[in-house]
Formats: sequence, structure tokens, C-alpha cells
Amino acid sequence: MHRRDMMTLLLGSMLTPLATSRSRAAAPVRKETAPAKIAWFGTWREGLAEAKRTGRPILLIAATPHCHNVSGLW
Amino acid sequence: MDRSFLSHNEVVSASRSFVCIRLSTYENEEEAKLLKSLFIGYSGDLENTTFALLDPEGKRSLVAAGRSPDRAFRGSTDVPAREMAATMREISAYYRKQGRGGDTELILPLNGTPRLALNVAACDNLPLVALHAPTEAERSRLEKRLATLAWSPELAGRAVYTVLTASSELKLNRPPKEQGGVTVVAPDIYGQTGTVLAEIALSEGDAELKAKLLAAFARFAPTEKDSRSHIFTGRQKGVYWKTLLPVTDPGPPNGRRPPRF
Repeated sequence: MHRRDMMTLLLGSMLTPLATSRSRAAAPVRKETAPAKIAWFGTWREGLAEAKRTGRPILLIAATPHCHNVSGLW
Repeated sequence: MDRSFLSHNEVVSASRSFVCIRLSTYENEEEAKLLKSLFIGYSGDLENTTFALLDPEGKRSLVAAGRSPDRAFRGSTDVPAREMAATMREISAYYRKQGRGGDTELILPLNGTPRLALNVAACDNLPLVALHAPTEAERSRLEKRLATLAWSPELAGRAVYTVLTASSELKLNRPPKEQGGVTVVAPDIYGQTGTVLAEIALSEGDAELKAKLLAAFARFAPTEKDSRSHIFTGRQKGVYWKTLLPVTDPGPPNGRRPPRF
């Protein structure tokens, strides 16, 4: 194999784990248009008051805003 | 929380005819009692997640309640979400025929304390909009103005809202400059601190308020998270979320599939 090819191969194999570990870290994602999301009431009292006022049925979800006590993740 | 149901575009569209309430489990006693009345799992106690479709009085479950929509709309593909959306459309059509189901307006969807709201915003990967005003009357007026905007097609579901009564309630890179108004905050990935993206004064008109909110939302950069590294790195950094109530979820027994939202 040509020396240049060997160097390329060596450098590539060194860079690949670095790239993988970087990609594992959180990366900022910019979006031009945000996809539509559900608009939530965050409390039962307010949401129920709104449902009674408008006569609309209720979609209710409850979840923990932490995972293994680490916040920032449902 | 798996988003395969709640992020499906048909479910989002159907949700506009519902009042959508998302509670943070273990953060409020009254809400904990309600959730237990709707669903108790194998543990016999409140579990991390609950799902229900209810009548407008909040008393009757319209489909099988459970840890997630998966119980009522079983499956692991795109189809169950469509089934959920179709069921939601039927339900809302029923209540509309009853002469009910008017527009959802005027109530700003607040998310509990500023501390909790910042965490929820981080979980949702959304900006936090904190309103504050020197008097109760001004706060109430600002809340009504924001409520109209919050439910508009351009802004619905794009932020988490809270009321600040003191700047110390949020850990920000700098305190709000304005005496009263709206501060748009980008939460850090753990929802423990925030960076001010924009400040809009109380004196700004509705058109300017909307334009500045949209501009601030466009500046917000959502961060993709990998749950394993998020938890690992969070623990290394000493991030710890203390719940108001004890966590009673037993965790998944061997072979049990985690809930899917």
C-alpha cells in the first residue's frame, strides 16, 4: 500500500471514535419552521375550568419531568 | 416519554378540539389524587405516567385509561396514533353536536411554579415565556393579552408559560430588566437555569408583542437529547430533581414494555 494511503487510513481510524463521541453529545438543532405541537394546560384546575367553560372534552396526560431524578427529560 | 402518539400530526390536529392537560406527576397533591382515581397500575399506587380522555366535566373516562395511549390504542406503528386521532375526532364531534365545544380562548396555559415550568420547557425543548408585572391588575391584563396570542395558530404549542412574582424564582443569566412585561427564556438542557432570549415591555402593543415573541421563538435553538447520555452526564454534574411527593412508580418488571406516548 502507498505510504499516503496508509497515513489516510491511520488518520481516519483515529478520527472516527472522536467523531462518534462528539455525535453522542447534545447538538443544537436549528429548525426554520417548528412542527406543530399540542398546546398544554399545565394544571388540572385551569384545564378543567376551561373544559367546563367551553364544553370541550379533555386529553389528559401525566408524566414526570425527570428521568432517574435528572431533570430536563420526560 | 415516547412521543410517537403525541407528536403525530393527526393527533396534534385533533387535539385542537380538546382541552389538553399535561400534569407533572408527584408535584401536586390534589392532582395526584385525581390521577390515582383515573388509573392505578400493578403497584397499587400512583405511577409515573397516566393517560385518559375525559368528558368536559372531567368525571368520565371515554376510553380505557392507562399509563399511555398504548393501552387504548394498542400497537407499535403509525396506525395506533391514527386510531387515536380518529377516536378524538369522533369524541369532539359528539360534544360539538351537543351544542358545546366552543373556541378555547382567554386562559393562558400556565405550568405551575417557575421552577417546574423551566424544567417542563427543557423537557419539551421549548422556550419559556415568563410574565411579570408590578401590580396584580397589570399582571391580569397581560395574562389575558398573552392568552389570546398563546392560542393563535402561529404560537400555539410553541412555548411554556409561567408567572414570575420575583426574579429570584428563576436562575437566569441576568435578571429581567423591565419592570413589567414578558421575558422569553431558553432553558438549559436540564431545565435548571435559563438564558434570556428577549424582553418585551408591558407598554408594547399586541402586534409588537406577537412579532417579538415570534422573533424570540425563531432564535430559540432546540437541542436533541439522547436519554442515556443525558442521565449519565446529569448525574456526573450532580443534577438532581426533587419531587414534591414521593415517587411511587415501581419501575418496569422484567419483560414489561415501557409506556408509549
